[in-house]
Amino acid sequence: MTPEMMAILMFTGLVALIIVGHPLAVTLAAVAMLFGLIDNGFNVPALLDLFVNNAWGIFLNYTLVAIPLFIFMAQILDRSKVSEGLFDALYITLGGMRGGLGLAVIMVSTVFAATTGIIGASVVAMGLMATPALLRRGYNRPLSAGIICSSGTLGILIPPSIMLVVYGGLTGLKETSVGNLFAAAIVPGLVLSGLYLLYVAVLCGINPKLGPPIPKAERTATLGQKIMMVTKNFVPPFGLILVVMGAILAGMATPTEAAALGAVGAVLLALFSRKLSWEVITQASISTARTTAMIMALFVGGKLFSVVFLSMGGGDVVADALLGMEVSPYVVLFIMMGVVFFLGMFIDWAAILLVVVPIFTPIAMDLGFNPLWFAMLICINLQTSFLTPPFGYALFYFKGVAPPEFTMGDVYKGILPFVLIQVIGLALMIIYPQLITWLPDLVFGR
Amino acid sequence: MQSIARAINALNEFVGRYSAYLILPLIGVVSYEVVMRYSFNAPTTWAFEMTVFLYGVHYMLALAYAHKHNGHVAIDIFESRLLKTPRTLLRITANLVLFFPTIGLLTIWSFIYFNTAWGMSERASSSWAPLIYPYKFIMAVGFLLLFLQGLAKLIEDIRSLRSSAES
Repeated sequence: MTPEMMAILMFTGLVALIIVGHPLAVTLAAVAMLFGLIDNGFNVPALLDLFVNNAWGIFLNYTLVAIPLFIFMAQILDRSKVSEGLFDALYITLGGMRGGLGLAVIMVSTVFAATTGIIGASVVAMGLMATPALLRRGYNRPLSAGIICSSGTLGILIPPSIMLVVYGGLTGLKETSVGNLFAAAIVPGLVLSGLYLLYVAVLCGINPKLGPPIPKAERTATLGQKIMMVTKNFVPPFGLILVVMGAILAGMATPTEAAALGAVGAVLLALFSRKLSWEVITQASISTARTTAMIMALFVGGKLFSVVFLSMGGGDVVADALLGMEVSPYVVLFIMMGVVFFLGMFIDWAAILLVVVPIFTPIAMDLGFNPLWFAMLICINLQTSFLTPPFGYALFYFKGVAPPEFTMGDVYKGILPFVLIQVIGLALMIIYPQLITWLPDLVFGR
Repeated sequence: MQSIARAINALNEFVGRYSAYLILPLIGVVSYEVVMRYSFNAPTTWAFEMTVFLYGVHYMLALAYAHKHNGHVAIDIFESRLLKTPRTLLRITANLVLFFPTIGLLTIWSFIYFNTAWGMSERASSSWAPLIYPYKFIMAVGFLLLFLQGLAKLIEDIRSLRSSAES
């Protein structure tokens, strides 16, 4: 069989088996095993030696240690209810504006995007916390759903983020080290958050029925009180993130070390706010272990898949097809982004990242693109994958916790403008690459 | 058969719950290294490896626990629309065709891998140079526990198939 045939069969085989609903990590490994055996003439010991060696290589991967540490930090912060305090404060401060509550949700999500690296957690937390308030104040349902889902997914992009750790651990390139990725993701994350804020402010400014202000009678807090409340609730989590990110950007600590310090900091914050107990630590530890196991299983499965796919020449097949077209590099970029966007409508981010990035990164570098810039485009695209129907996971998480008035139709309708904003954001990053490269160049130099 | 499934569930619940606490020493070791390096300018020789080994043990022992609680990502959108009996049949088939050969072979070969390391008392190539085989053993155990959990799921699925056929 030609490598072209094998590559196509391996991919279609994966897609066909994915819909069976078996854990993706196992399916990836099984497809890898089947095609690896076909490719090497059914030499079971040789293939299994290769597989176990790769699993051991992942066992020794220091970069990935940051994953459980960041998850634990987020779990503890989540359980110490810091986000609720901040939401209450911003609710009172911004509630008087048209669309003010929506803006408050986006701002809280942006700050907490920095503390939670896992989407499910932040969409669920914001959904539980903010949806009843938005509903009570007469906010348009699709708009509310769109705000919570989109700003909730910022957590996967704004550092520290698990996705960026996985990306850095996967490529092992100096340009896309976790530190570089963290630095590169800050501005794009804030730009996207800014675009959401702008959209909600303008939309509700034009049509206040979509997001009415709180009645004057209920606005009793003085300016001084407002400033006090926001400061009191904003400083602890923000300070923690500043320390974690600062240590990484200043080159004082590896992301793994900074993550451990962040975990210690989160425990201390919980201790000072009297939310710490052995029960909280136990629950946080167990959730951390489960989420970590899920990501690492996918990492192993994805690694085995890409090892086989690349060793039988699948990478060259894709590269030849894309590079052989003799078109502008930007057309190839557009196709690659289109593929990621399309896959994102169906498959989970980690699987896409682990399967697609090893294939696409050499192509992007061949075309002369900056690998860090390319990585960030992929990551923004993967963030979008949480929002794109039919299978945007953020939408399901939201539906799972939202009051029953919200139909799936509301959620789909509400998310579309935000998906458009994502595409606009992606286009901005392509037209102005400095949005991505400026900060890493500044802190790490060239 | 049911008692085997119950025993596996109990074992993985136990291992999962207690190995989850490994996150605490992991935080401790990494933080200790940072403090020693910056405050006392005395980096350790062992913290780096201790960190990766602790983490490896942490996630390998959690694999089966996550599987027990259906924590591994699966695209269940199509599967979840099926009726109960065809869905159970599909799950059993996927388990037999995808899970058992793959995880089974990985388990066997990771034990072979451990055995080789044990036989030659393999050490890490660092100044601390710890013995490697205990960690390779844990990796193999992690795969074995995952395999067992798949077996428990198979037994449960067959039972639910039987009970729905009877009713």
